Parts: sequence; C-alpha cells; structure tokens
Amino acid sequence: MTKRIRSKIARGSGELAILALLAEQPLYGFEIAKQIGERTGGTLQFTLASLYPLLYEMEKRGWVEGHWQTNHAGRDRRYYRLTPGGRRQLAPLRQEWRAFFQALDSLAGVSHA
Amino acid sequence: MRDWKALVRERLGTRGLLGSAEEEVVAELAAHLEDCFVEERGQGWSEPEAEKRTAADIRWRGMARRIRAAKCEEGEMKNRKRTLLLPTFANLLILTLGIQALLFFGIHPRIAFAQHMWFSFPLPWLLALPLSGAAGALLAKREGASFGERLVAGWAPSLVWLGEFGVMALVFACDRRDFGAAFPLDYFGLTAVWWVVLPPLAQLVGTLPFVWERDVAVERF
Repeated sequence: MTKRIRSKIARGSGELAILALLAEQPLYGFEIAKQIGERTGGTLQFTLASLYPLLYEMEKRGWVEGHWQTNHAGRDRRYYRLTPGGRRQLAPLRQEWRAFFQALDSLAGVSHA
Repeated sequence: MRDWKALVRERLGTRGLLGSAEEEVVAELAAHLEDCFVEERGQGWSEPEAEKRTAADIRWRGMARRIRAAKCEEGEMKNRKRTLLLPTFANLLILTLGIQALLFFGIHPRIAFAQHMWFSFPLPWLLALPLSGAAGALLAKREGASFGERLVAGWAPSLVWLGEFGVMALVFACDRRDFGAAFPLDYFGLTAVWWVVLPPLAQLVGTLPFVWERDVAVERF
C-alpha cells in the first residue's frame, strides 16, 4: 500500500472517529485522543502532531467548532463540538467506511482474520 | 513544571505566521502537553522523566506545516510561496552571486580535451552549487517545508539546467537528423557528465544536511 493511500485512510478514519466522538458530547483535544485510544483498545492512537492539524482542518471546513471553557480540573481547555455541517457529514462517512470494510471483507475476509 | 507555552512556541517555529490564531494554537497545544505531563506523573514517572516523555516523539515541523495550512487565511498558495518559491529564488540568486565572486577571484571554467573533442568544464558553477543548494534547503526548512519542497528548493538550478539540457539535446538531435548526420553520442555523453550528472551531485552535498528532519518520529495515526 502506498504512503499516499495509507495517509488518506488514516485521515479519513481519523475524521470519522472524531466526528463520532463529538456527536456524543463536546470534548477537548486531550480527551479526544484519550477516548479514541481507550475505546479502540489502543489500536487507533492520536499524537499531538496528528490530532490538532486534523481538528483545525475540520474546523476550517465547518464540521466542528472550538470554544474555550474551564474543565473539571479548573483549567481552561478548548472544547470542540459538532456543527450541523459536521453532523451531516457523519452519516455518509459511516456509510463509506461500512462499504469499504464490506468490500475488503468480501475480498480478503478481514472480519474473520 | 516546565513552561509548555514556551516549548510549543520554540518548537513550532511559526514566529507569528499564524496571525491572530497563533496565541490560541500555542495555548491549546501547551494545554495538551500539560495534560500529558500530568498523566505521566500520575503513572509514577519523576518530573524530569515525565517532561521528557511528554515532549518526545512529536513531529513538530510536519505539524507546524499542516497547522499553518489549516489556520492561515492566505491559504496554500501563500504557504507554497514561503516554503518553495522564495527559497528557490534565494538559491538561484546565491548561485549567481557565487559564480560571479568565483570569477572575480580568478576561478574560471576549464577547457578539457577528451575523445578528440574540446569540452568546457564549469568549475565556478560546480563550486557554487553546494552553497546555493544549502541556502535554498535551509531557508525551506526554516519555513517548515516538506521533504520534497526542501529537495526542490535545494536542487532547483540543477533541475532547471537538466530540463534545458534535455531540450537542447533534442533540438540538436532533430537538427542533425535533418542534415542526415549522426548524433554525436560520445560528445553529448561526456558533456552530460559535466553539466547534468555532476551539478546535482555537487548541489546534493549542500542540500542533504537540511533535507532530513531531526525531529522525525513515528506518527501513530
């Protein structure tokens, strides 16, 4: 698999993971990275360098919006929440990934691997 | 505890290029590092070790480039101007000045005789290329250019000349064919060594140290 394809898959899956998480509740960057790591058993992990550029790109596209708010520990953090535009992206993205995995499954039996 | 904002500002190296968004980006990234640090401390690491683990494996340069592309209102074109066009222009300018300086100090092209033919050996050009290549690649690196951009910014004169030489060879070959004469392959082969093979190698000497990123780390996502 070429680097370009790997990068596109990583970015696409990252967008879906963030949109799906933020659809549940507003979170700040560290929480997003932590929850994705925990909920995928460490399979998907965001680093500082991969998370924030993606969040800013999504913000620029109008899918998420950030605002500063004090967290439970009394520290100011930039929380992200889904915009109506981001919510509209979620269903087609889910559908795309479902189709992708079904296609891969029928070809390589990945779901039984 | 470490001043995470100062660390982010230093490593990100955007130097005001993000405009009004800069402070917010620095504050947000610093807050993330602070949370990582607190978590590392919670896992029992000593303060120095926790600081080291928090700041480790961050690909700052690549992150700065992507953040700039996402945050800068001017957009990708302005970014490209800074990371590619200006360093390339600086490379060409320094090369021109370098050649002039070498000529001034008496270093001139040499004429060589080989294979029953005369060849000009572009000594000032070859000597000035490493310096100009280094300058182009360094400037591109300072602006957070990608690997490819740094290579092009460092290699630009050689690439331009490669293209020119290719066109010249093609025109010459067509011209010779019209007159029914054979293409002097040995002449072009030797000229190509001086003008097309050696210059990129000379320029690579200056470019290479600035092409590789020192802070490369595995990006896990």
